[in-house]
Amino acid sequence: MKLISGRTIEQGMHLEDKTSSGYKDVCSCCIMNRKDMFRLGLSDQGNVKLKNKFGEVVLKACIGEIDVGLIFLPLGPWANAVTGHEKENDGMPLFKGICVDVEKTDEKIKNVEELIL
Amino acid sequence: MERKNIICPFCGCLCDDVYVDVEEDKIVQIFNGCILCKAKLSSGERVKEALVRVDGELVPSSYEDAVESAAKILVESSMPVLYGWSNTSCETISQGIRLTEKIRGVIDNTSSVCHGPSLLGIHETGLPTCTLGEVKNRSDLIIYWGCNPVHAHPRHMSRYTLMPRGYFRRNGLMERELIVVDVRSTDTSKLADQFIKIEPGCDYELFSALRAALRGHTVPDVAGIKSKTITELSLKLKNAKFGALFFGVGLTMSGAKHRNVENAIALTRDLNQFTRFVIMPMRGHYNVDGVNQVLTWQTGYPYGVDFSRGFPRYNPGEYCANDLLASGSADSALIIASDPAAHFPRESLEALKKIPVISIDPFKSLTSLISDVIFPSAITGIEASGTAYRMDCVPITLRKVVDSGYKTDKEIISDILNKVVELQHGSKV
Repeated sequence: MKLISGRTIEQGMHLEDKTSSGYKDVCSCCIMNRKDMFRLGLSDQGNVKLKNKFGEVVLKACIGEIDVGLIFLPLGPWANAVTGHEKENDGMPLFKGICVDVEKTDEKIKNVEELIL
Repeated sequence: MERKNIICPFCGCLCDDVYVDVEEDKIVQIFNGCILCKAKLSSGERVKEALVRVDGELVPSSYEDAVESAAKILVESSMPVLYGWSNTSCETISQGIRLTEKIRGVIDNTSSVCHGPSLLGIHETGLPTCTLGEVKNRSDLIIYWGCNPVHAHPRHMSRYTLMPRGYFRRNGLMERELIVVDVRSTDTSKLADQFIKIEPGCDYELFSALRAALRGHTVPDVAGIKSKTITELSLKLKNAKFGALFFGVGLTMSGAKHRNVENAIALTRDLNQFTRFVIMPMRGHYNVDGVNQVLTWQTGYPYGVDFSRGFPRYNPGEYCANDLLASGSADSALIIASDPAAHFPRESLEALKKIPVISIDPFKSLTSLISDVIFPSAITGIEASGTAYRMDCVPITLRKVVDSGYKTDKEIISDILNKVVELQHGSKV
């Protein structure tokens, strides 16, 4: 599936407050299409693991208005865990259209300190 | 209690109609600000004093000792990276460039992870643009492409584009049409007269198809959009009296990146053969445009400028912060007015954790968690004055309305510069 990270107003509201639980709740919640959730055996608000060559991250998956095959995640440390950087390109990391493998998981979502430190 | 007018120091809109009630140097109420403005002015954990890492622990330090520690780190580095600058004043940025030149480092700003590719596109084709005031007074067709202003620039539509009454648009919203192009339905697309849902990474192809349709060619289905829709859209653009295309990082971060922007500008240029059309990037941080302006005046280049040979060199992909961190070239970092630990890819964060980091920020950022020297600073636009550039390149003076007692970004950078010169030459500048 393809991951698109981007800004949301809720993420923007926590920009100066990134160690708060509110920031974690907002930035670790991804939006997926209902059909993808069903295909992967996921329940709404259940945990999901995204993996690719850059890393892996556990998120909460929510049903939302998005096309099949796409995942939207607010930008932040959780999105960055699976974001890569193409060297010798134009200096811009790959923040949108990131290829990820998706699977259901019982693992817990890391907090911001666990991701950063 | 006193009511004071401020310029909102959050996004590139730089709204100048925000008022705050100030009582005993504290903001007690905010008027006209959007939810992002109110969140910035009323929340956030402040760093109270300078901190220096000793034996793995951050311990309180005198300001003078922190300045000395920071200067030593920079002087002893062979490739220091000075990154951020988008949430501070042009006056601070100007001092930052002097500091970078002294230490033969690299200065980069948040453009390299947002609209850097837009700047590369503009290098190729120029930018047919105007001020937001002109859009407000004249535009009858607004396009938002790859952006979601309802979330990222909440007052953009109400102050500058869709809703305000303008000199030639007396009926405001009733005389304007909104088109949104995006890969997903957003709160902005729900307000649009026409929403065009495009396949991810296919913006370049759609711009090319629109340019072909403008010339009268028959185009096939492109980017998931039907041929008929493309032809009708090209006619709508051609028949507008004054069109304005605003684009976001949906163009700069996906597919052809800077070539997307180049093609969007080429479409705008082509449209000017038929009508008046302008294009503008939706700049995020409130002074990210100012960093590009000041860097260009002083060095000739807008971002990712390398001074390691004593003169400015520019090559995005080689001298941007992420390039230097990912390649392992950077051996120290000064981070000001931004939070790369929250917004850089994992690989760059891991590199940042291995080198000494100096951070200057009014709030407790994620970068401060991995920093070795931390300077608390005044919030520019609230606790310090300065100049910032709105997204349409209009400079606006930010006012100080609260006396916080914190050092300003400019004072901190100047003090580090003085200490660097003292360490290098044994005298002050």
